[in-house]
Parts: sequence; structure tokens; C-alpha cells
Amino acid sequence: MICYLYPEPSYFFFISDAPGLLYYSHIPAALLALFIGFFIYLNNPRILLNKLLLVISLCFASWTFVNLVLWTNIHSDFLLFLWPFLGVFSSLISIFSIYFTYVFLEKKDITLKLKTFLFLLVTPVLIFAPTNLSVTGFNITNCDAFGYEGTLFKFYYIALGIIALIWIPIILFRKYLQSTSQDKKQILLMGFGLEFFLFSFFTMTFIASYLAGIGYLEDSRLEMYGLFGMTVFIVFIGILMAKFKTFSIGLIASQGLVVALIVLVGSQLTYINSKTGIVLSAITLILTGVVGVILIRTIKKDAKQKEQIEKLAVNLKSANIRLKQVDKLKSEFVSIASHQLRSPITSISGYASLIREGNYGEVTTKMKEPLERIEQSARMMASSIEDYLNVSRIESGYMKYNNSDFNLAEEVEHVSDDLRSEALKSGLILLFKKRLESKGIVNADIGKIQQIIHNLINNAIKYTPKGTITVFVQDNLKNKLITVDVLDTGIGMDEETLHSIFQKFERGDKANAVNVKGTGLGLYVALKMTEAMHGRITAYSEGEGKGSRFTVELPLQM
Amino acid sequence: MKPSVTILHFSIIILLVLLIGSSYVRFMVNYDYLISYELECSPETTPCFIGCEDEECSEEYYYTKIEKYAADLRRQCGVDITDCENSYYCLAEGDSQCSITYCNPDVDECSEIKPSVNLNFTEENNISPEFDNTDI
Repeated sequence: MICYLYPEPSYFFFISDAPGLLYYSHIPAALLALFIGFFIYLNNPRILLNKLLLVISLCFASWTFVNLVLWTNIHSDFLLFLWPFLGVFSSLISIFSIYFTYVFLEKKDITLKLKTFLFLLVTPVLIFAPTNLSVTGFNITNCDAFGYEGTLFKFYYIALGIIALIWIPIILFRKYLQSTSQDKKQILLMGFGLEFFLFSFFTMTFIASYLAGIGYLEDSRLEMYGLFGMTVFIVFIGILMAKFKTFSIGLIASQGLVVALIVLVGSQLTYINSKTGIVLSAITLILTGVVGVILIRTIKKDAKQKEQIEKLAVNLKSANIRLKQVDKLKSEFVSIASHQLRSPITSISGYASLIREGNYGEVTTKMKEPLERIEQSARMMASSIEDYLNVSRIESGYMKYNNSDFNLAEEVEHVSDDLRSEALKSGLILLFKKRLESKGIVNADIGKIQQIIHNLINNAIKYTPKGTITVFVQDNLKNKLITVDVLDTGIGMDEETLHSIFQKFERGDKANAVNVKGTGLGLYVALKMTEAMHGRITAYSEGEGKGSRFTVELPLQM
Repeated sequence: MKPSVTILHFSIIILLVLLIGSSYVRFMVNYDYLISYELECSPETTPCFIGCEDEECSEEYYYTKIEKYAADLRRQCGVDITDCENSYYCLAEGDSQCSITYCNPDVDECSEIKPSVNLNFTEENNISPEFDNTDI
């Protein structure tokens, strides 16, 4: 049956005397919803959040299409066929909005229990929509079915909308309280956008439908205003996409979206004939343009910053490579130079010793002292060169370790014995002690260990003006460790020196006053060698003038 | 995807398909609903509902209301009731559900009746209420 007082529409819903706001409120909102829904979904179809947004968009667009047809079409059977779908789509919007909010907040799917509960909530609407509980008749004079709508059915789907309106802000608020500031911004944007859409959509459609149903209003044109909520929601989604990449959309895609939205809104001017519609469309076009420009600027700014950061990262990488090359060259240079120096120094030292011992003729007492100084200086220089060579080998990775099992305590005792005479010359007592429950066997490079212990005892002699030097070897069976402590009663160290003592070319503040001949490499070399043999070296001092303790710790071979 | 979730998704799709199918059959195949419309009314013979031609109500018109089963009306008049005489009556052998509502001055705003006929009732009809045979 046709509504005999109204003209037949063309293409389902185009009539000449439609209310001014009808097409403007329905068509752009539905197209925007569909456009954004499909755009986000197609950009990343695997993400559940994108799927749910598409479902909400489809439901909203379907509701809008049905509503537009109900406003304009005149075939009662077709209109009644569509009438129950208003309730169905609005129920689906309510339920999927709750689902969408959960997934947005938790970043994962909801539980089966909750899913089933939501399904059960919407099931009565789906079951009873085609029955008399939904709608029983049609008024072909007014061309509507408001007077024949089932009260229970209508109140049920209205109740679902109210449930969504209350439920969503509660879960948003609860999550908001637990979130970080970045997440809080996202929750606020999404929450405000979604709630504004649902509130305007449900309140306007429910109120309009109710007032038209009781005959207070001639028709339900008030509901047209409710549809603008979707446009606001889309703007918020756009901000979330650009600012927080909520739907995992790329920057270029976001720019494309803004351009497409402007084109879409602008295209309304081609089919809207009423003056009101044209003015409103023009205002919307300007607003969309302004928001679009702001969004594009923000996106461009982000992209520029990202580009600059990437450029800096590339520069930094190449600078790092260059630095490594320079460092390697330096190590190679030091190695070559040291080798070239070591041979003549060894010759100087050797010949000075031979001359002093009288192998080249008699040496007067007056000559002996300068010869001895030449020999000592040459030996010192050879030692320094050895340090430089070691550093060079360590840093270039060419230091070789020939590990074998040996008795550490015995080796430490030998080194102590060798240096005892030197300590005595400086007026110091050098003691060796051990307390072992095991045999004291370690697996390490015996030469390097001798060098490390020699270095530590030598340092103790250099920086102890008077007193005792104690070398103490002990084991710890529980931790499978053996330690060598070199304790002195020397100049000690402050807190700051303790932190930097193992760094290259680092010497204690007071060290120069006591001994000016150190290179500042001995402890660095000792540290690197110990670490390479899976050991540890530490320094301790109670303060300046209170002596020092250097401890070498190595794994014990059981 | 878990089987329980798949069942849930299929259930909602099946319900939607059934909803579309049954709605289509009910409204577009069987025309299983009521149709109501307004009929011209003569205030000289009966109390009539008063309608307005425009928002300012500068011009009034008079009407009664009729409600018929859509399938019956479609069989009697086709898709358009304009110029269909059968749409004015509840037919004894053509209308399974039919009613004509006249204006009730106690409830509605009605036109004044020139002859002193006090007829203000809703006539439910499943028998044979030919317009001429009523008490109007």
C-alpha cells in the first residue's frame, strides 16, 4: 500500500519537498561513518579494534539509510519491513560500542563470558523484531508506524542504549584512574567522542520517536540533530589516529584520509538543493578544512621531527664507525711505534748494564752512577712501552691468553719473593700469607697473572712511604673462588679516586707527589686481563693516608 | 578462533538472516499487518475529527479513521486506496479485521453535527457494516 498523500521518491529516498536538514544530517554522516570504518579496517584488517569500528560504522550507516527511507519512501510494506531494523541497528550500536570500548581499553579481546552476556542482551531484539511485539500496523495517511510500535520491544532497545550510555563511562573512568598520562589522553579523546556520539544519537532518536509516538510531535525530525554526533566521533578518531596511531594507521594514510574527508564533505554541495543545506554544507566544509589543515600540519611536523631524528641517527652511526676506525688506527700506530721503540731501549739498557759490569773495560766509580741511571731509565721506559703495547693489544683484541691449570698461591709467593728486596730498599716489609682449604689451583694465563700481581705489589711499594705490604692468598670453597689481597699502609685513596682508579691514564691525586714515573695504565691493563680470565679486580681504601687494598678474585678449579 | 566464539558469531549471523527473512515474508509477501488511514467525513451527518491543512490551521478538513488488514485492503484496492470505493467500508466478506472510528466529542475535538444524531463510537466490524446500513 502506498501513502496516498505523498509523492513517490526517486532512487528510494530522493523527494523534492523533504525537510531542509534531512539529507544534510543523514547522507554525510552515513558516508563519513562508512568511509572511516572501511578506511581504518582496510589499512589493518587484522586488528580487532578496527573490525569493531567497521561494525559500528556499518550499523550506524544502515540505521541512517533505513531512517532516510522511512522519511521519504511511501510503500507501506517496504517501510514496515524496514521499521523493526531501527531497533535492531540501534541495539547493535549499543552492544558493539561497549565491546569496542573494552577492546580499546584492554588492547585485547573480551572474555567469552562477557561476549556471551552481550550476545544474550541483544538476542531478544533479534528474535522479536519481526513479530507483533515490534510493530503491528501502518498509518498510510501520516506514512508512519509510530502508533503501532510495541511498547515492550521499544523500551527494551531504548534500555540497551541507556545501558551503553552508563556502562561505557564507568569502564572508561575506571581505566582512566589506572593509566599513564599518555593513555589518559587517549581515553579522554575516545571516551568523549564515543559518548558524545552515543548520547546525541540515542537521546535525540529516543526522544523524537517517543514524542512522535504519543502524538506530541507531528514527526520525528528532532532525531536529525542526533546524527551529527557521528561526525564529532569521527573527528576524535582522526585525532587519535594522527596523534597516537590508535588504529595503527600510517602517517601518509592519515593525510589521505583528511583529503578524502574534505572531498567527501565538499561533494555534498553537488546534490543538496535547499538553501539551508548549502549553507550548512559550506560551514561544514570550512570546519573540516580547518581541522584537516591543523591535522596535516601536526602530521607534517611529526614526520619532519622523525626525519630529523633518523638523519641524526645515521650521522651518529657513521661518526661511530669513523671513531672506531680512528681508534683502531691509533692502536695500530701505538703498537708499531712501541715495537720500534722497544728494540733500541732494550739495547740501551743491555749495553749500559754490560758497561757498568766492566765487560768493555774498567769503569770508574764516577761513571757507575750515570750508567746505573741510564739502565734504570731504560728499564722504566721499556716497562712503559710494555704497558702501551698491552693496551693496544687489549683494545684491538689481539691480546692472547694461554690458559693452563697452576697453583696460584705458589706463583704469588714467587712474585712476592722477587720483589721483597726492592721493598726492603724502600724501607718496607713485604709479607706473604696464605690460608687455603683447597690446593689453590686456577685456570689462567700464568704469565699474565704474574704480571698482574707484580703490578699490584710494585704499586704498593711505590705508593707506601713507610710500613708494611701484605700479600694474602685465601680461598672460598662455598663460592669456588680464590682471592689475592695486596694490602699496604700507604697513601690510600679518596672515594672519587676509588671510582676512577681502573680507568686509562688515571692516577690518584696524591700519586704524582709520591711517584712521578707511572703511566696510569698498569691498573687498567690488570683489570682487562683479569676480566678476560673470568676474574675480578677491586680496590678499597678507607681514605687518604689510610692505606689501600687491591683484591684479585679468580675462579677456583676444584 | 575458539569453537565457542565461532558458535556465537554464527548464531548472531543466523539470527540476522532469520530476522530479515521473516520480516520480508511477513510484510512484503503476506502483508500481515494493519493499515490505518483517514477518510473524508461530512460534518453534516456525523461528528468528525478536525484536521488542519497547514501549520497555522487556516483551513480545516474533517475525517474519520479506518483500520483494515493490509492483505485484505490490497486485494480490494491494489496498492493505492485513492478512488477505491472499498476502502470506505468494512466489507462483510472481504475484511477479516476492520474498524471505523468516528470522533468522540467526550474525548476528541470534533466537528459540530448539524442533524441531532449522537453517534460517537468505534465500530468494530467482522460482519457486514456497509456504510449505508449503519446508523449514521
